[in-house]
Amino acid sequence: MTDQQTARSYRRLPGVHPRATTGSKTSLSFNAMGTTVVIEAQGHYGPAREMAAELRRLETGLTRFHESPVTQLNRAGKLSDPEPVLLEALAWAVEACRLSDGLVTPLIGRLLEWHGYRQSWTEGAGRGAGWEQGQGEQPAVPGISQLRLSPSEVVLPAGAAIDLGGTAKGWAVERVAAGRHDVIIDAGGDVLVDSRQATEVNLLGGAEEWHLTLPPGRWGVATSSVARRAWRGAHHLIDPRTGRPSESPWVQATVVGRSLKRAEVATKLLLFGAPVPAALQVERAWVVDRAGDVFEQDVRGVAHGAASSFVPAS
Amino acid sequence: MTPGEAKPTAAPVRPKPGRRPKFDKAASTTWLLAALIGVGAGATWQLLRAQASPVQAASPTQLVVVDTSGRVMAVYPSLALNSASQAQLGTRVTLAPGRSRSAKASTRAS
Repeated sequence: MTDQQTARSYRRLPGVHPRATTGSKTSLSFNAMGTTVVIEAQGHYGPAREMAAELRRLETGLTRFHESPVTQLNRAGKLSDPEPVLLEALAWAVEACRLSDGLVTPLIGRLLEWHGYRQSWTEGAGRGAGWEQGQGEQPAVPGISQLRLSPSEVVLPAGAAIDLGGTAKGWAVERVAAGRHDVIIDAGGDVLVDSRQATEVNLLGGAEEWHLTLPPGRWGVATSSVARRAWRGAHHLIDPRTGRPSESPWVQATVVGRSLKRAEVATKLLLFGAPVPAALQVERAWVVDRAGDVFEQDVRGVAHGAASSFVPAS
Repeated sequence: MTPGEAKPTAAPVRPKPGRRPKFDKAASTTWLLAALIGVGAGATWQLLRAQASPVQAASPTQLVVVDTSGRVMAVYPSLALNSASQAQLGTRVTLAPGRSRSAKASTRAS
């Protein structure tokens, strides 16, 4: 299939747009997981198109905003013969929960709904109707040991609901890029880079602009912020210990590591003001305070449970 | 000058051709000394600056790399720096100020 034929075939994938062909690389963008995803891959459009289709498929199977196995599970409290993809995503969510001492948990769904996050996020959505805090008692977040996972059935704790927003994006990007080389996937700021050359990535969100230089190899760069996906009186990062939106000196955290899905979890821990365990394989990390100043956090060698030290980067 | 007042008639004084101005030994020595002191002070200042940057010890366990304006560019545990070769430092993820035009992506919250 020629490039032109492949480019035409994109029109059969709604919302997927070829961006550019530069030398031997192709690039395309599309909306998925509540953000704009850009894929740059070696060769013709085929590999990028396959990755785009796979990301869309994963989103469809894991969203809690449209009819999906997750919404069925949240409605009924259990699901028989779950699809392998759901089991895989839940298995990583459970591991992330354990690595984060329960701070990043898939069982946060009911609490997110109570705070107003009941519909898919689009920019400016939080200013509209339907984002009000729930009435009645604030739901509790069950412990992860109460979630039962098996190939034949998933059973939620009584009254609980799943939300995979804290772990699924990085996991999905890593999954579609597995075994592929010379690829860059930018999923709304969560970036996976696999390159034989040093690669630069701009770091946005601070008062001043910075850029990262990644050595050759495979890297994950994840950024989380409490200033985005925020609505009246709340934001999406809910602290399960208090049931309230997290409060810390930092409004944004960026983590570079060998694994994007682990870096994604580490950003949440930094915003919670919690220690980052070595198992998350963080190479370097930065946080942004309310004034927009960027600080580097040295997480290497910080033992689990030890206080973190912050060093200003400017 | 008021009306009716005589105009000055004295002509500007010019050195007579063929006569050299008198050499002022004291003034020349003063200028030479001042120049030498200036050069010495400048060199001392440069030496002091060179000692203060770009790497300075921040604590017994960390080394902080700063640029000439005092910005912190990187922080290393001293043990890691002592054992790091140049090649190892070249494989590190680095952060630098400013947006890169050759960046392949941007990391931001979404």
